[in-house]
Amino acid sequence: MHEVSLVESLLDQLDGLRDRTAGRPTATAVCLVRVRVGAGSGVEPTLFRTAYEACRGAREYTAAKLELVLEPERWVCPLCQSSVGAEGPLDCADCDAARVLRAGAGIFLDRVEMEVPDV
Amino acid sequence: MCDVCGCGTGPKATRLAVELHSSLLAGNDETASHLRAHFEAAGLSTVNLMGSPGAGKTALLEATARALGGTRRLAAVSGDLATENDAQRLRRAGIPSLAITTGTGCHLDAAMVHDALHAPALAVALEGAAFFFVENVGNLVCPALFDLGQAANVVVLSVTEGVDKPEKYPVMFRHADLVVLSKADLLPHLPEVSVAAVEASLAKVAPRTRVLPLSARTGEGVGEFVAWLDALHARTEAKSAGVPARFVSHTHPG
Ligand SMILES: Nc1nc2c(ncn2[C@@H]2O[C@H](COP(=O)(O)OP(=O)(O)OP(=O)(O)O)[C@@H](O)[C@H]2O)c(=O)[nH]1
Ligand SMILES: [Mg+2]
Ligand SMILES: [Zn+2]
Ligand SMILES: [Zn+2]
Ligand SMILES: [Zn+2]
Repeated sequence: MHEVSLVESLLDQLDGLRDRTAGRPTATAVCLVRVRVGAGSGVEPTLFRTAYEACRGAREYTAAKLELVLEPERWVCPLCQSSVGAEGPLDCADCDAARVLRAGAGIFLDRVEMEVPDV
Repeated sequence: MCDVCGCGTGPKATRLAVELHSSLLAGNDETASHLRAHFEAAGLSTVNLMGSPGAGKTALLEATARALGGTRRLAAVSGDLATENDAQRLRRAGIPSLAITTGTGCHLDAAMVHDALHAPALAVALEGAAFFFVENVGNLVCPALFDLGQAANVVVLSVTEGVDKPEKYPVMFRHADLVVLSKADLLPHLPEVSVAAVEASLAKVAPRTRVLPLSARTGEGVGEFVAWLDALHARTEAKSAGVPARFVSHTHPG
């Protein structure tokens, strides 16, 4: 299940973030993680959440709530930049160019919120 | 403030928010770029072969090796959950091959391919090779997400899988540079299946992608597949023009 690999990569990025902030926030201080899942990414949001719930304990991110934002596909003509519908003819009628997926093809870590104790 | 009861006492904490917008595939994509640089410098055409379990990926490579009869140098890796069977079949067909056993992993990622390239046996086979085939784990979903530094993706779809597979697995078929419709020798037994019906389904998700009917058993379509490979290789060579065509071996610190 590739959702597990993607969750591991998410947790690695969180670890990296901790290292970049000079070790100040601990893993348990991460309280919110926002991930954007494209409709055309090949990632199933419910499976991603299941994988997240299964993996985060072992990596100590027990307090980190996962917020999933679904991003619809956006297809455009690469020549004239006009939107091309996901349904119907797939190419731009004016330019005879194959449409390209401009948004909704990937999965991104958008935002992390942490509670850092004042010292 | 105290998170438990909201009483406003307890240890003080500051809320820190970081906006990143970083891809969860960034690590894989970085390794894939490194691989692509390897391949291009070596003038090596790398083909990522994907498809369902049993679609005929290994049979396609065996038939290709037979048709080429040693006129091009080939090498391969094959991703398999548990066995080395495919790598053994490919070696018997004359293609130096290494198995990548993925355990429970349902796809190959760039790091697995990179590790295989640095295995001495494969590194030797890749010296001066024209084509490097990566037979992915049988799966129509996730292999498409993981870039392996390939020059092209070939999706193998067998005639017995049903003509609507492109619409059902749009992410996989969108990534295809060529769809091989395998086991074409069985078409006479399947009145409901036709090349045109597969083309119609593919047109809904990837209208410019070609469907090539092929039978590893009778050899139908294998010549056209070889011609497609040669055209791909001509583009690879144009890209690496002037660079001596040999595999660039290198080491990594650590
Ligand atoms: N009739 C017919 N059978 C084929 C053809 N190609 C493959 N097969 C049969 O289909 C079965 C699976 O073929 P493989 O080449 O092992 O398929 P694969 O996609 O490599 O399978 P995995 O790697 O296990 O996912 C074997 O029994 C083959 O003999 C073909 O062109 N015609
Ligand atoms: Mg196989
Ligand atoms: Zn997978
Ligand atoms: Zn246009
Ligand atoms: Zn390397």
